[in-house]
Amino acid sequence: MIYILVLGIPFIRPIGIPLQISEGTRDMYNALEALKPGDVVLYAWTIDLSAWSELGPGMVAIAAHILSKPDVKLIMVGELATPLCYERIIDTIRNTISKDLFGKEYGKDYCILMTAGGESGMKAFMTDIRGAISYDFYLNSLDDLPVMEGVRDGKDFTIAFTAITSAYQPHIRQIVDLCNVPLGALMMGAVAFGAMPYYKAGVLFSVMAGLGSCAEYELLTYKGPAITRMDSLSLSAVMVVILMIAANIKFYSTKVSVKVESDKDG
Amino acid sequence: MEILESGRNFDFVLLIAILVIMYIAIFRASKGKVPTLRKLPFVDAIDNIIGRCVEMGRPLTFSAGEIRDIQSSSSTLITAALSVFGYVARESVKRGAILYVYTDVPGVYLLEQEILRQAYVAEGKPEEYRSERVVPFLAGQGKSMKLGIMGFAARIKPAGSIITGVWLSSPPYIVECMAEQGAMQICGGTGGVGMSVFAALSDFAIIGEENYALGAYLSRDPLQLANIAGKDYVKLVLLAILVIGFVLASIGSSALFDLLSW
Amino acid sequence: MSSLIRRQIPIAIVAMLSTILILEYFTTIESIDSMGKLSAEWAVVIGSFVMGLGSVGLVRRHGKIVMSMNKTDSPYSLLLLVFFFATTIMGFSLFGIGGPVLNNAYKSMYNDIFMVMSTVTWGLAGFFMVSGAYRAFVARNKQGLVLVVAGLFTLIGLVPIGAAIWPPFVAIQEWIKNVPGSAASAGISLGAALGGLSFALRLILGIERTWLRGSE
Repeated sequence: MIYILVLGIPFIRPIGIPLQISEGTRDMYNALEALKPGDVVLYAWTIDLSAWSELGPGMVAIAAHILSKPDVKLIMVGELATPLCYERIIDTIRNTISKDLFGKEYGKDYCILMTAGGESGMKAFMTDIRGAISYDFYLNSLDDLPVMEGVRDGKDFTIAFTAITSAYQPHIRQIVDLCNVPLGALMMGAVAFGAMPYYKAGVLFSVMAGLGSCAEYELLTYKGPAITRMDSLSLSAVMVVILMIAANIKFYSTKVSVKVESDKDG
Repeated sequence: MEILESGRNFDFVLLIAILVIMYIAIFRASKGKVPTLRKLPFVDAIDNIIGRCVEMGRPLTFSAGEIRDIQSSSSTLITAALSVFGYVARESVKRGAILYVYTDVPGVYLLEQEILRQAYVAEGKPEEYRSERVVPFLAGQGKSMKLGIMGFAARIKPAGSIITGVWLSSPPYIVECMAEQGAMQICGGTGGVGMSVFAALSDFAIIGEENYALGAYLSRDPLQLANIAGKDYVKLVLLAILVIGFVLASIGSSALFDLLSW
Repeated sequence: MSSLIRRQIPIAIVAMLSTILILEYFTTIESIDSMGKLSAEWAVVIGSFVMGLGSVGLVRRHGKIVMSMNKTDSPYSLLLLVFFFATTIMGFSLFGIGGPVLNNAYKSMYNDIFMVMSTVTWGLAGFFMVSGAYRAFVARNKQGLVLVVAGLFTLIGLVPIGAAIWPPFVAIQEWIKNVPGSAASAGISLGAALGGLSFALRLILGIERTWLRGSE
């Protein structure tokens, strides 16, 4: 109950704690800002809508940033329910950022594709796109989509982006290792810690961690819901810290009182 | 024409070296020179947990991972978890513990049914096998397991929980639900949220490569134990390469980096 | 004969396909490349059939529970089966069957039911993590003390209020993430990768056979 109150109060009365832009967010922004006309971006096998509340704002802001660049193609690939998530991203951009989607058209500037089979499907796609799939999510032939012209396999992509809640190793193996495409990732906070070796080694050009990074990216590009959620996140973290300190005080006071009692008996 | 892909020549040479080292270890074991492995603390804990469940008359639960199926890129970790399950199933049936196993992937669900059934047949109790004790949460890529486990744990009130394999986002739910029921827990993962949660919250944590070694350790098969020892020799070789690379990088030489990119 | 079918042939298939896929990664030989691509396509098809088999298993299991007329479990199993078949039928809209009515129903069910329930499921993790933190982050010994201190600095440094209270929180958190955290992750990843390699070798050589016959 207390937890819900602590999370909910900032929505009623925002506090407005200032945000600092982290290194990973800055790297992602710089990489996408440097996109030139003719570049092809792969929006690769992200989450479906389950972690939308944590990663959704960042995915929308990044997709909007890519679509706002002139003559940059965006290929969105996913499996299972992920294409429905991409539809929601496009709808959200239309409703909140740009009604005409920065003048971009489906099939001409961006498309949504669907694969199957997990990492095997990723590998098949990155090796030979038309060998893996023949149609897009709406059952249009790939050869009828102007955006797919000249994009035959993974090596034709300039840069790739993904948003994941768990394992990022398949993306590294099939996108970076197999096709040498630079990959930036938006991840859940806990998962991002494990990905730091790859970021420090340059395998991933950017690692953005959780809702905080989404809010930072919104600050750099288009304002959105993540910024309003940061106050709530800050207060919940403070609450957890207080609980941790309380647990330790309880443990040590119990230990001291047991020792005092045993000294008395002894 | 080059036969090997450019940039992967050193990797190929390293792979051949790894295979040779592992083959030598397995060959020596086949001739009777079986290596001795250090004692893993959670190996005894598995037997203790089964005994605890038998004494308390409460079930033991097992799970071999979530979301990733047997044909995915995590198939080795899932198969390692299933080999541990084979041991746990046999021991539970032998000692009379009630074993429940749950999963959220169809391939693993089918394999676990077969492994559990085989355990009952091997112990001469085929009539005691119950297919309802293999519980599938096959919807929503792990989401139904996260929710289902709360009711499942509250209903069956397990005294022990063993989980290993691929764990991505369900660990907080499972570990806390089992802890609420007072279950003793052995949990294993290789990275991400899962491993951190297990290390902090469970009674025994199986970290990283120990997940792969556990099945071999439990089986006591000499060839499997030799394979583990061979892997450790390979690790020594890789550590030597790391140290050499560190020294060369410190003096400003890119020789090792060029070799790795050969 | 039965040992040949149940053990030797599956091990031979695993060994052969593994060798092809390993060589496909390292070599430029066209025939091996095409065999590797074919194996990847087979894996996709097999995965789809496994999913179908799992669905059949699910329907069988819950069908049995419904038929048993158990007061506690049967209603939930019936609900599961109703939603299972409803989603399957609505899913045909993706192939253009059923027109806009079915298409809208499918999207509405996904956005308004599935997505909301998934988000709630993720949100529940917060409660579990808070109770877990209260239970686990106690400095019972020296390692526990290191865990508590590192956890405190990381938690506060990651949120904006940390920088507002005391700016060095962020620098300390970055150091914990980039130095000890990163080093530990790298070490564990390396060990796990080697463990996976050695286990894969056990599978290829047929030393590990639990997956073939269970307890034998």
